[in-house]
Amino acid sequence: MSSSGAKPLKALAEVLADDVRTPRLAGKEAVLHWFKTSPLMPMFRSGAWEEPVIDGSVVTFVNRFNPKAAYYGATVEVTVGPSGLITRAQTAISSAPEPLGAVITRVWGERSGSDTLGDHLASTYGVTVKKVSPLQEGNHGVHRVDLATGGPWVVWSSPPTGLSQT
Amino acid sequence: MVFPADRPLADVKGDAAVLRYLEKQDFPAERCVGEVSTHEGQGVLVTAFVKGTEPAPSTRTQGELGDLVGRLHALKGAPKAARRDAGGLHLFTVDCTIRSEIDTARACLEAGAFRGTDKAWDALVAKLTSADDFAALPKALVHPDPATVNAITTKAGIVLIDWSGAGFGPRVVGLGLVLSACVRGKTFDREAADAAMGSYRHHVTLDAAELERLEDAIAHRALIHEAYSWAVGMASQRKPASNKSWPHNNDGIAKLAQYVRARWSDR
Repeated sequence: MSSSGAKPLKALAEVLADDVRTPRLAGKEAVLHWFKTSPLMPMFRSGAWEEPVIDGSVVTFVNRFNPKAAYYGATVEVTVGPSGLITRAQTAISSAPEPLGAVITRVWGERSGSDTLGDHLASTYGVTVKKVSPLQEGNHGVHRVDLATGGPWVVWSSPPTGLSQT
Repeated sequence: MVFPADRPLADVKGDAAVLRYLEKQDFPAERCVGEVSTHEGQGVLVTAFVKGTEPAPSTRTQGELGDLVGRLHALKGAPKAARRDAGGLHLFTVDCTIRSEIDTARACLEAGAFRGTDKAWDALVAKLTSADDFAALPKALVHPDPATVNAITTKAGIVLIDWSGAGFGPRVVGLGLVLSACVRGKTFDREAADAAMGSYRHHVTLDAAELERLEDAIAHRALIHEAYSWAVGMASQRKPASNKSWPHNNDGIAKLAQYVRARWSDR
């Protein structure tokens, strides 16, 4: 991923464990394929890596993309297993420096847990949920919930990621 | 400035406390139907669905909104949980205050400058730097955005919804948000302004200091939104955007504030 002229994918393949996982991918081949095909790769290549931060087995890399890129930067967090190979990786793309990035996430970002909200309501409030749908397009934190009996309800969930330190 | 990592559960419980208080006062708002719960780290508030449609902008709507906001500002005896500082949009603030809304908008403008700045950015930063948070003015229970987008017309009249972050804030900002809908570029809708002020004045009489600050109060939220239009446009589209309300409407806002002071200060 660097711009040093080395073959980055070959170098990456040498440090990935065969069973490496990301939030959406499982296995070395899947991860390497993502790197080969991701539209983010040109942004990584043209960006600048900051010094990595090591915290136990977790290493965090920050890439500040070129200001002409579509996004502001990325944070890559990898977990190094006992074998010395990467067993877990997670990448977060940021659209802007903080606190603007956090506001954008708060206002327009997807909320976690929407797919399990119906189960939560059923177990917490003892209702039978027929349907959960966004109350308004683009308003990710507010859902209309249709019930088997009574209702409907409106469910307001607070943002999972708030503003962070500036 | 250090911001919290998450909106605390206590804030969501505060939203519920406001709604329960409003229900006791028979104030038209959405009603809680259960206790606040937690789902995947997020506070969850459950309310009854309010059936109806968003009211169309009109003189009548302005009169009804002025009445509702006046009733709200005149309420007494709110419980402690509902007496938290407020006035700003919770998504744009650390603590729902107007001060935080201003400071966060300025910090976001500065963050959004990573691709460069322009004259609009200079003007927005200058205005936000000198912006009043109205903290010295009388406070009341306020809805953070009493506009048609947060109102539903029902058979019983208009119901205000989305009380996230509601609490005690400067009442002149709440009235200013209602009046801002009367602005038409370089002028304003006099009938709509009279409808809003006439119904508001049934419940609350602004003091001299509030009337003096009315112009900035009407312009406040437009300034905040314009700052985010610029910053988010720059970050996501690589060019600053404008929602064409600040400073484009400032002449109309100034005329409206002057009119209200002349027409409504002694009645």
